[in-house]
Amino acid sequence: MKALWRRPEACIGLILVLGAVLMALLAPWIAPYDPLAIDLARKLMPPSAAHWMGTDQNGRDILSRIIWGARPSLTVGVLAVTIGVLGGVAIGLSAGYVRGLWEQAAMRTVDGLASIPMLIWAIAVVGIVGVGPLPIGPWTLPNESKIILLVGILYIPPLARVTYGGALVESNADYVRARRMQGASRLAIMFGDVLPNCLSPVIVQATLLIAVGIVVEASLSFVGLGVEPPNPSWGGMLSDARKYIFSGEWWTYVFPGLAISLSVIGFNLLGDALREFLDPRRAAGISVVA
Amino acid sequence: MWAIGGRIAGSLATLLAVSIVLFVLVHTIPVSPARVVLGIDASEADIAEFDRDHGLDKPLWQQYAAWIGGVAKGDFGKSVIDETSISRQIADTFPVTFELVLLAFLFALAVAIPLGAISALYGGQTIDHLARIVSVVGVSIPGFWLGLILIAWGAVSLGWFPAGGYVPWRAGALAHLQSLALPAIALGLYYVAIISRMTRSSVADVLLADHVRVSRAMGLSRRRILTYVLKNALPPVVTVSAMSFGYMFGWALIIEQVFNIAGMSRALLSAIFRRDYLMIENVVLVITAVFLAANLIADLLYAWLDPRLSR
Amino acid sequence: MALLEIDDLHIGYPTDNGVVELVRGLSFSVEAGEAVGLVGESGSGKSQTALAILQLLRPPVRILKGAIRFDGRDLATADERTLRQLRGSAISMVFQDALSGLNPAFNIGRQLTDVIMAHRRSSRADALKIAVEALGMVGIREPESRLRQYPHQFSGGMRQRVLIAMAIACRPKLLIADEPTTALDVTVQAQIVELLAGLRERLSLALLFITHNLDLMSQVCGRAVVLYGGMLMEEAPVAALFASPRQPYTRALLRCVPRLSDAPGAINSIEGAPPVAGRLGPGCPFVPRCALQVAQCVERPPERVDASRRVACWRAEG
Repeated sequence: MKALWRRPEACIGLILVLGAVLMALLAPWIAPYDPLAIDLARKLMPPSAAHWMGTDQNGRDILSRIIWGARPSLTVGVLAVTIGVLGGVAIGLSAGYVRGLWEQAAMRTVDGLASIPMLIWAIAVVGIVGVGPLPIGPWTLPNESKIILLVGILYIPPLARVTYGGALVESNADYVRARRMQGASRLAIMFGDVLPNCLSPVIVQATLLIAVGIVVEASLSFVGLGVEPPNPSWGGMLSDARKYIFSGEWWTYVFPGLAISLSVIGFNLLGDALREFLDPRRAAGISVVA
Repeated sequence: MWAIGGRIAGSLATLLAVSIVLFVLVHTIPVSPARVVLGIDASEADIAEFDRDHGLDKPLWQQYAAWIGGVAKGDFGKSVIDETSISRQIADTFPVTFELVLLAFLFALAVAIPLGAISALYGGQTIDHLARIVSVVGVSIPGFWLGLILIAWGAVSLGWFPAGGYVPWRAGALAHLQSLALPAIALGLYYVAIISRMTRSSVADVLLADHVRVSRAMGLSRRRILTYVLKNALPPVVTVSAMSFGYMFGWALIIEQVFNIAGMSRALLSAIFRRDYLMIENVVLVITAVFLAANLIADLLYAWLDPRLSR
Repeated sequence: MALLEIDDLHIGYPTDNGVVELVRGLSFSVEAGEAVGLVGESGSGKSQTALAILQLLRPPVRILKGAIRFDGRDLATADERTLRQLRGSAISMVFQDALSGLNPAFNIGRQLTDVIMAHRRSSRADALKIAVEALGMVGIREPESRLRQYPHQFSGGMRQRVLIAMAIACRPKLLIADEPTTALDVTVQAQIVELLAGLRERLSLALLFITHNLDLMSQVCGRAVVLYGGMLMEEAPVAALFASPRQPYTRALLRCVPRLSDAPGAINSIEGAPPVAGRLGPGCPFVPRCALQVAQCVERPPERVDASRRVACWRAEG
């Protein structure tokens, strides 16, 4: 079996993902300009040596805004998936191992959650609660946290189901029976023995869900329900650039879209490669999630 | 027969549960509709009067029952913000969104299924690699950006399509379809990718099956074997397709905004910016219902197609 | 001229280290109406031989050398169209996979009539009559009522019968049965073998019965070809083979079959491991496990022909 780094898809995916992650992490240091600095004298300039990706309608450097825009996209993607994994794995693992009434109740609830169309509800929740910072106790969270929370909760069903399937199979394995006979506690077996063997599909699914999260965040920012302007976000930049489709300032809408597409391609390629690598038999299991 | 009834009942129960969650969400927000309409400085008396007029002073469970009862009869009530009929707004906008989704769906199926099947039959060759690339790219390009690019190319550059706006059927069939063509492609490409992948893997699996070997050993023609293979490969493709229809409804709203189409997105987003929570509530309920219906149909179709399961 | 002639057949597939041969120079023939058993363990190459006859080998496995003549015509060089005409009508095959051999999405009437109509110009209605007749011949009761049923409504043994019905519906001259009973219960195995024997008589079929089960084979076949490591070890009429096996492998094989006369608890087996394709030299493949081996055995043994028997062994008696 080919090692992960020998597969061209995995390499491309990894490079793209690393690119996006590094942009997000190192933004303050690698962005050539302040993404918020307005300079109307230099508005809508095409790509040049000074501004590799040109400037937008407020004279802000597009490259810098793209680099900083990686932050909300990746934050939403990664944090939402984290919530989904924590909740989903806990539910799926316990349902698959403990079985019985808890299994029924948990998986039915999961099915119920899966009936909720993510995008509509994300729009609705942000719309109802209002766009703006979210004050919780002593902290003030940015608008994206509402999205992260909702999307994270709605990520629980696919991750729970994947874990549940694996847990069901592993719980019947001989080594689990052996551990039980050794007197190991339920929790120890669940997390120490069953869980590690269920993780492969979870990792694959999580990677692919990060990709979905990036697009959801961008879509919401595009309609004005995500990152609040003037903070840079890829979706928000596209919203600003809409009118320039007609007047030819292509750099305002091509680069942000490319940024989204390339990061998503990266996570998708990585997820696919991981799936081939970790579980080639089930490599065909494709499901729609969004 | 009972199984079908059970599934339908299950979906209805879920819809009911979801409606309760929605209701609670909408009615526990701090800003009351009265304040939205009357302003922040309105007096308590005015607010109380407003609430009485609109039935907002009744206990929550009563308001919920009234709402759900109305919905079951097809009456979504009146918006408290501007007194327009919510039913009317939904009736006006829903068909537009539905048609957009339908066109995108048909486009996706028409491209994806042949593409996936051919990829599987000629696995490893050029067409397969090409399809793979289309698949990865199609699933990664955000629909709304694709929409913008299509407008830039198809409308501004080539001038073959309008840059936006919805032309109703009665204003001319061709113009109508032209106005929906680019949005349908923008909405559908993602699902071309997903459905073609599913088709490819399903067909590839079936090709390895024992009964296909038997069919070859019995001297059946290639066309006949292809018919067999496609029927065997169909169930998972149908399931994924039906579910996709439901998801498409959500993304359609974003695409509508890109192309300025007066579908449900307009009802929803204008409601959001007007703080018309009741409208939001109803629109979300309708779309969730469509989503649940799509999943239900996916389940039922799968059972119907696979004789083993339907018994 | 025999109905089926296998002439110096070599089957294998290419690898980075050269060609791996699964069948290495096999020759035998089947006369019209005759029942021949092709016996061997897994890995002996018997299934590949069977698949090769109808050109159903799955790439990259292919025929490297040799001829497969049916009614005088070499199938290895025939075009796809000719092969399709022969498959299911002149030569039919029944496989081991009774449980999964029928398409689960179509009823058996449809599957049977599709095969019949592929080889004869008849209407669906006429084809159904032929199908009913075929189902009756394989012992399925009330066949008309079962035409609309789906494979999952049949038991394993019944499904194999349906597959046999499909195979004989167009009255083939040769029926190849590749381990048709291996996936079935023991009681059902005997029934299927009986069925094959009966069909052979009734339809004057030639039968090539491929198996590792000597007893089953002996109930229906008149002659047996013993295969090991892709090569022929011995060929003889069944009675003679059982009574006086001449090849060391055949003898060892027969010893392994449990008999009532054996001491209780005695299980005989052949020492050593089965050969691995691709790692065999040109000599006799049984050498590592043969008690009679001598230095000369590293060269391919000649086939000593004697009356109706053939033995491939340097040490074969008489």
